[in-house]
Amino acid sequence: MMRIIPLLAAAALLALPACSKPAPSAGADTAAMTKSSKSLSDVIGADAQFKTLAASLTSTGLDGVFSGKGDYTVLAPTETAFAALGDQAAGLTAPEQQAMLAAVLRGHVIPGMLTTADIGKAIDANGGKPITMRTMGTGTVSFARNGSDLAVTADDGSSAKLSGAGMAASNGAVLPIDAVLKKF
Amino acid sequence: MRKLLSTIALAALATAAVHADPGGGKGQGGGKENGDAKEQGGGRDKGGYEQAKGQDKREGEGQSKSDSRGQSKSADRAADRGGNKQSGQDRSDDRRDIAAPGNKQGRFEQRGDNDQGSFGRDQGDDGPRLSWRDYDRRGLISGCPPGLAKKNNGCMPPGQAKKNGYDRYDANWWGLRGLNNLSGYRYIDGNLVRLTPGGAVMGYYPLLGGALAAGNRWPSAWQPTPLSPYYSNYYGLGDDYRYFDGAIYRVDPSTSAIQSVAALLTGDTFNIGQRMPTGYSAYNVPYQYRDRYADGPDANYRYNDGYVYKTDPTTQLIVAAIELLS
Repeated sequence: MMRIIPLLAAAALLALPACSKPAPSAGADTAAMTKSSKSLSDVIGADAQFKTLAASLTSTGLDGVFSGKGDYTVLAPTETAFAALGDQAAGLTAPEQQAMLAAVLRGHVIPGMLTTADIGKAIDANGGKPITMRTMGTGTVSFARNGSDLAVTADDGSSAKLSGAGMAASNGAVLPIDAVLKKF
Repeated sequence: MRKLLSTIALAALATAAVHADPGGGKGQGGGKENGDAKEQGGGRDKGGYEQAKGQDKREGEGQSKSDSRGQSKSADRAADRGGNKQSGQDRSDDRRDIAAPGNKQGRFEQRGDNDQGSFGRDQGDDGPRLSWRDYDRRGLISGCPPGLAKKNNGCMPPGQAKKNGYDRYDANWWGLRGLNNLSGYRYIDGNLVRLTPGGAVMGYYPLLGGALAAGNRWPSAWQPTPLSPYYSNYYGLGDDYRYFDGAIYRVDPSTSAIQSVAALLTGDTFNIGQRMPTGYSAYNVPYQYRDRYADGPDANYRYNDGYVYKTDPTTQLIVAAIELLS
């Protein structure tokens, strides 16, 4: 026991520098991501904050994509985001406008699995400057830090704030955003 | 090598013939018709990382064909490489080509233009090959869109009074990949319709979620689109599918009715030996492959359309394309 105590003390001393490091900021890119074994479609469908998004994926047929084998990251507009569209939201989700809705949603989909931590790390590696990611539309979105938040901006200038760390599904990630990325 | 190139050239021409023959066969059954299918999909029956071996094998696929090595040997080598010094990949570097979509033979001579999504038609030694962009640039479907034709009004588009809030958006707003900076289109009944200056219908493009939605028939004017067997395997497409504008659709072979949207694709071009296309700044490898393909001092990894691409962190050049069969 006598020999163990000095060893423990030495270990504690070695651990001190690590403890003295500043704690990471409580920004969106450091928050823990919720993990699920369910598909993206199921994760989105089960979350009340994505009620309109889930219905939109179903009506456009894109729900099949997100329950399939490919991996995607969905920048997921919340109910607040759709509500902010006002009257445009009703038009956007009308049955005769499903092609338009599909076109809008494609701009919210990124290939592969992207976490807020990945985004934050890439921004840091880029000297704090915004980084770009390809979408399943024809353009890109850029991510940047805005204080402790992460913001995303589409090619047409529409932007949103990432709300929380999001969720990891079996075939990708869901990153909630507070606005629809498309100018109308 | 000469024999290999001849074989590939013949396969490419056969693919082009299918493409040029409206309604000619399923077309999407590339895996059945392709003698390379087994080799390309070598990892399909294996699980998890064993499948990744198939991918690594695919990194060197062209090479394994060129030097007559078998797939299993290549896969075993890949398993031993551990993701660093990958012989298949090194050979890929030498040849500057990688496995690619859009051609049955499963190989694609890489162009040096680094142009996103423009695989274009390559006129290299292997002959012309088809690409995503070739499919996306399929001509306007002539005539009246089915929905408008049903109205029996001489294919007259709705008048100004009937315009809805969104048909003012032109081709650029919709982001159709084969259409850029074009005007004179209107959104009508799930299609982007091209009008003459006088307002008459010239033709139309069916749109995802509109005319290209579950239950609707695939346009008969658009022949099937053979893809690499790897895509069929990776996305679990089966034999009956079609491609247009960055989306793959499952289709009922007997009725040509669209059953579902199976996958979305960027169609971006990744050229081994060249820099990554724009838009892959952050690590985005699927969760189940993150342990194996983690960014480090020797390599970075990025995912797109079923492949993980390995890059040199110093030069930012792509050094390998890795298949992810699951």
